[in-house]
Amino acid sequence: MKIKVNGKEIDVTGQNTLIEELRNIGYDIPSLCYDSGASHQASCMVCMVKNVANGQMIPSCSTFPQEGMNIETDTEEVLSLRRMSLELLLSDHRADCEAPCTVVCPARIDVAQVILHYDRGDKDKAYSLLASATDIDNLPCKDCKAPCEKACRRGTVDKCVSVRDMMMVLAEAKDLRVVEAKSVANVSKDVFSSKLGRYSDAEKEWLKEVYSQPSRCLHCACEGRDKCKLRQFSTNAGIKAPRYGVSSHQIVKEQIHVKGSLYFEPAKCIRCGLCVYNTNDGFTFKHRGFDMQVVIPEESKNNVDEKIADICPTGALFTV
Amino acid sequence: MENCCQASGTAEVYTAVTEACKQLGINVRIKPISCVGACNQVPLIDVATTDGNIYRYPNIKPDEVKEILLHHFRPASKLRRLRNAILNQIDTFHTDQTWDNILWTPEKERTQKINSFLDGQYRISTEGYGHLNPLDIDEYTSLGGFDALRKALTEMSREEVIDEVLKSGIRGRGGGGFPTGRKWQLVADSDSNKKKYVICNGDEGDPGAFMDRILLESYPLRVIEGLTIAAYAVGADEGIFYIRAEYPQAVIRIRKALDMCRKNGMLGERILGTDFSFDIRVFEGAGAFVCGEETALIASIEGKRGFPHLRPPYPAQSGLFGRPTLINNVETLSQISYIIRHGAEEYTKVGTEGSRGTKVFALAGKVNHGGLIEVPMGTTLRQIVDNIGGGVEGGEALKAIQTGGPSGGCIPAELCDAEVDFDALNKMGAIMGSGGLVVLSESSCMVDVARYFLNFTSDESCGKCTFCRVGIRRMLEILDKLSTGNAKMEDIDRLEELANSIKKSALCGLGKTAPNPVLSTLRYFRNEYEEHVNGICRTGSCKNMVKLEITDDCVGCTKCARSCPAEAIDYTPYEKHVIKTDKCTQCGLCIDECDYDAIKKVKR
Repeated sequence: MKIKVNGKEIDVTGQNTLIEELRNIGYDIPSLCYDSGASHQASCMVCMVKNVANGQMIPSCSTFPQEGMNIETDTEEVLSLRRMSLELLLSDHRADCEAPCTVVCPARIDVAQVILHYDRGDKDKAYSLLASATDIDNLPCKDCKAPCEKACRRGTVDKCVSVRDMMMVLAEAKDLRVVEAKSVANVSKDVFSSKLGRYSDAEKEWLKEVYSQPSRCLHCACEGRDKCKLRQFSTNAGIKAPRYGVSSHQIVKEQIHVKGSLYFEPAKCIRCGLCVYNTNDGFTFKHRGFDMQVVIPEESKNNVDEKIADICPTGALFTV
Repeated sequence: MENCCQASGTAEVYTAVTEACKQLGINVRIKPISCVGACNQVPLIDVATTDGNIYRYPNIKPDEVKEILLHHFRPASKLRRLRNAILNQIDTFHTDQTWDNILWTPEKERTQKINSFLDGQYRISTEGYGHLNPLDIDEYTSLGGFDALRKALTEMSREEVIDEVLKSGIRGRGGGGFPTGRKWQLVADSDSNKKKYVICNGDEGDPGAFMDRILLESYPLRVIEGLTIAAYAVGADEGIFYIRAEYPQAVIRIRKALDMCRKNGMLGERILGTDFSFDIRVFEGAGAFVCGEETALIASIEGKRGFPHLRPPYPAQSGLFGRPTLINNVETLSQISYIIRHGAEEYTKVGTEGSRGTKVFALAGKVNHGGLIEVPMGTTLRQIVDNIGGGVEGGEALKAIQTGGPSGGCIPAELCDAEVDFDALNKMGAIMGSGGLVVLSESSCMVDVARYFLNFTSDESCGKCTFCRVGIRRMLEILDKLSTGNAKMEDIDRLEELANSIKKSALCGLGKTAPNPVLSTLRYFRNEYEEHVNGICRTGSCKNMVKLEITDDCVGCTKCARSCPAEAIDYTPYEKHVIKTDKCTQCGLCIDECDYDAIKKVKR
């Protein structure tokens, strides 16, 4: 069978979906809800292409080639619709890619990661990460005005984390070994970074209750940002911030322990359903419309394999 | 006697008639009949006398029943007559009821409204309205029912049936307007070794629409006949009625009608003695609007979540359980028997070039006589409103007509002289839809109308695709901003951009048509949107933009204070009253109550 793609004729078998055929011949079609080999249903609409033959916009991930198709993949119309679908997803995605403390640190210390290691009891790693970023004997935090503490999201809830004190205590600790520790932050103007925005009063109360570790850190940075396709495609599309009102009905920063090291954070979920279609009696949908959410019933938690985190296109499913 | 009719008092009247007949000893046949459509004229009694005359009594109350009965019929024994005469005298003595009696109104005055409502209608789907008993299979047969089925099964081949339907030019009444004959052809042509299904889509969910419910409740046998003919034509051996569970009466009647058909050999093994076997079951839908979309409907029957999926594959190739499936709307199927019985040629005489036959509408909104109507395609909207509907309520000017429910659009008054058919409505930015017609007058706010429908689709979106789930929500948020007077001019452009993108990119019919109410009002009433940005809602419908105020015409009669349910007006006799805006819910009761026209809606 022959179809036209951007004016050029190509041969296809008709057995593969359009997105596979297009990727095979070198077009980079983004998609969130599609993972080759996994069962899926069209949802995110980021893989949109136009069939000029009938003027329809179609999700290439679930359309099979048909005789006479004339596909456009990179016109302004197609690109702007893809951008809009990403923006719409981001407007319902109340999460930080990077922690505000890390973003503002003048010494470029991955503050959030240091605190995370510290909170998990891995003081060696915290110390080493700090040491790898700065001169540990001459810590710049001493004379710093601590913009990290001003930016700290905990500060909007009750009182900010005393980042500076923590760093100084760490630097002065004599009993810690140097191990391998790498910064995972990706702070750059060229990379898209989702921002959580303000907490409502009810959310503040809930956060106070749930995040009560000694450091009081909310751990804003996303655990899944490295593999996050939403972030990657948003960067590619040149999105700075969604142009639409931001709101979500998901509970902010709720982290549900699924099994072993697997966690689920609904506020980051884009409802693509990959985890629903690829677990047997595991994740499932609840409610409909804007309220629709992916849930994991208590009795189904054991039916989930930890590997499911790999196919989640965002950081909603992550392992620690 | 449908559910809605019973609710508006017919049930009480029916019991009153039965009891009165027993009490008075009048021997008369009491027959609950199919829907007449004149919802504002019920409860309605027709008295058919032996001399062939019919006397019609609209809007009657249970206590008027006895009077009417005595007027037309004589109780059996003299003793009873005497007793009734005495009792009546006492009744009259106690109450003044008989002086204000329906019998005193002349026949012409009584039935004028209902006659003007019924004139200009053309009955195909609702043939036999007002005299057919919905569940009397003998009566239905004697009036030509099942003739079409018999003709199709014994005289016509499958191809000839499909050919007849193709020639008739009938298009699907569910909303899309796809030629029904072509759909049948596709299913008939698909792999004949596979089991095939036919489904009657009775998952009507548009707010204010009740065409399918009435057809199922009033003419169940006609719909069953249509479905059976469809099954014969495409070669299916199992049929399913998908009816939403919120239509209990429809479910009960269809079940009863199916039983009756089985007993009479119209369903089951070897129908009417031919070698065609076919049976139908009922599936009750749980009431999700999206399940009216055919792929979602199939998923729902299969026991899955009501998610639509991308077409192709169309249900005609791979439908229920992967088998070729024909899905037709209730109204489409109710027209089939007419086509087969009278022939396609007769059917094409009704309607317009591109849209044949009649269309059933639910006429509602600001119109004097609302109800269920069936008109030939090509009737103009203005004819419907002025002639059948008796004009706009309160003598106001017509502003627009909303067709097609939440998937349709608003057609402004200046375009209402256009003939109603699928193509003309599409061109105007509306759709035929399943047939809701909402009349909007000068006092309807178009932003509010758009917001109402979008609120509905936002709630009913299945949530599967991004554009529908999040996009419609963002549109609704912009409309909320507009109706509270907090929007900026660029919000209108953003709203339009979102609406156009959703229309292009959403996955299923629900999402693709959801922006229509916004797009059509933006097209014809953009100035109203701009007024809302400037903080003006000219009709006062957007509650956050107006407040009620009492002018100096107030004489301090305290009527408003006493009528206010929100206690927003203090009881201050002989002083000018004041409305506390923070407590006021703008219900408008005080405006109705005030004798001095002293309460006005003003800009906040």
